[in-house]
Amino acid sequence: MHPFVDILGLTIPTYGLCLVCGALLAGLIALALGRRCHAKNEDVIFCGMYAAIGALIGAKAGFILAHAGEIIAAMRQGGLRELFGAFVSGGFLSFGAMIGGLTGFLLYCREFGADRDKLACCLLPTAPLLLACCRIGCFCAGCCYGIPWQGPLAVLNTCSPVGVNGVPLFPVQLLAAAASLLLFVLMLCLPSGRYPAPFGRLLGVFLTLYGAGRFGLEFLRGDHLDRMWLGLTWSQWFCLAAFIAGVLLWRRFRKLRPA
Amino acid sequence: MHCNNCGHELPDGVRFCSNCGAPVAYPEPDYPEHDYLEHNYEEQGPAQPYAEPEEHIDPRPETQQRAAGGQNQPSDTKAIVSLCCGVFAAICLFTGAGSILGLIAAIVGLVFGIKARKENPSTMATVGIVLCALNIALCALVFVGCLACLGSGIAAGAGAEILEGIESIAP
Repeated sequence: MHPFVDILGLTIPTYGLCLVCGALLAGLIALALGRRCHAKNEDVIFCGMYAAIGALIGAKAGFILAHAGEIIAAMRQGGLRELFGAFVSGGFLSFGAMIGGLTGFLLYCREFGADRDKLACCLLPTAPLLLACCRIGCFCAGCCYGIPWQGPLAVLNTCSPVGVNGVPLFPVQLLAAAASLLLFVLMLCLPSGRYPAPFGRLLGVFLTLYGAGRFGLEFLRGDHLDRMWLGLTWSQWFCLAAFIAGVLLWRRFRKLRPA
Repeated sequence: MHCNNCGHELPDGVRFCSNCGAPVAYPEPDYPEHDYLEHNYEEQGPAQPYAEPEEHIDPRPETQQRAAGGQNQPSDTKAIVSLCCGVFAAICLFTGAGSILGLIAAIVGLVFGIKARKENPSTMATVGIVLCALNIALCALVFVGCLACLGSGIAAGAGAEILEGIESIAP
């Protein structure tokens, strides 16, 4: 794997590179979708920025909340450097990012009176694309690794700073990236017809399918197995909640918006 | 022709003075009553139902209107804050661990820039937005860890590694 790449003499983390490239690609696709939905370019860009800021804050806040006890212990024992290394620079919670991103999106629509349905049709389908890029970054960095696996497509990490080295693993990150790309294509096809699909319907489809897919993929993951409750990981409990919320939203908004 | 208020030279057909913003008064057409009615009929057809006269709208941007009136501009203050945050974030980006402060400043600056631009599109707000967005992208590039790393051990490893990466990049 390649956790770092050298570009013009600079050592750049591959995960960050995938994240930024994914964000740029998602932004371009959102702008293209904006033309289809007759949304203003300015609104698409600014709403995307609000959602990105929300996602960043939500992901970090979620991580800090999930590790509050450990952070307090680290503060008592270590110095500022250890605290920064452990909890400030690294570590984000994907469900925190989702909640934060959604909050940022809704906040923008409310504050500036933007059309929620139109902007959702532009921005929501790009979320799985961004997730897919992040998963490719995970694969390169060697984190979010799979269960030990001797079968076909097994991956052997040799220089991962964050994963397991020297053990053949199932490439669950690539499977998750493929599933996210499939969800991206599906959500692109969803708002068919002349009218943008209601925001609740798109969000419902996203939460339902993402929750179901991630729930299954968690069984193939080999990391954070120590964080389990009633036989399921914390992520799987979040997935269950997302799935139920998604089904409820989908049922509520399954009809297209009238003219 | 010239502005009645400040005397600035103006091209024909403008409704407001480009210098002071005062409405430009044109002399009434000097038609005899008979000719005027005929002229008006030929151009506009039969008389139209009475319509409310158009509201007097100043076509200048809000900034210029306020500047002419000497009023404070909150959107300009937000644009300045956005720009300052962007510059501060750019400086912090090269200070290793201090770049976290830069990231926070860039986020604040971006929100202010968007608000300023929505209230009143100005170049300063646009520059602030671009600068802050660029800083956030650079911060994400160099020290954002994995979104899905829940294990603190993994995160600690990633954080330490990325910190070393930052220190190797920073002069």
